[in-house]
Amino acid sequence: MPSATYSSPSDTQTFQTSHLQKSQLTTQGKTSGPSEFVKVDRDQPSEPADNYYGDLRCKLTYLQDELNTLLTDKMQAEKKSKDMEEAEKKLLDGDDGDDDE
Amino acid sequence: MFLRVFNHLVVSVPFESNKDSTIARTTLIQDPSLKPDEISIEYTVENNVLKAHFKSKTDRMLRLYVNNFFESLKTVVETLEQFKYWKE
Repeated sequence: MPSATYSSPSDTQTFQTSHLQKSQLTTQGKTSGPSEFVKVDRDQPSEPADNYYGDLRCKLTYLQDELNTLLTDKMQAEKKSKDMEEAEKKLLDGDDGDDDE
Repeated sequence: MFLRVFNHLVVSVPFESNKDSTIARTTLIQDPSLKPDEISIEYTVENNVLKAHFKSKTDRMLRLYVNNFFESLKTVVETLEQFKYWKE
């Protein structure tokens, strides 16, 4: 079954698909769909065929969603950390607009 | 001395045969990284399993390339899904 392992200096996470039940399998990704402004999605994924690769495509969709959620969370955490660092710097150094050093 | 730190992601995808995983690899390597100094991708085949190893400086680049990878891979898989067992 497809799987993925993410590792960074601060943590490691593994994602499996072997636990997925037939009812959970879909080719409609939660993080890979069309914009909310699209009325008719002509690029909608097709329904999976009843074979190994139909199954695999659904599991890859699940894995893609999990990884997108993880990476988006990490990007937001990094941005928040940078914003806090900037705010602290301004507080300590004074925000006089003069950043030339 | 500057120590470069990378984030890694390894995706393992089992196919039905070594032939199928090799077809997937041959297709995917046609789209290499456009920013090799920021992110590298290595595709390997171990029997019937395709492995994609991403090594990136940022999670932002990783998300971009991982999504491209999945979309391309799902196209390969869908082709096999529709035509491998095709009977006229």
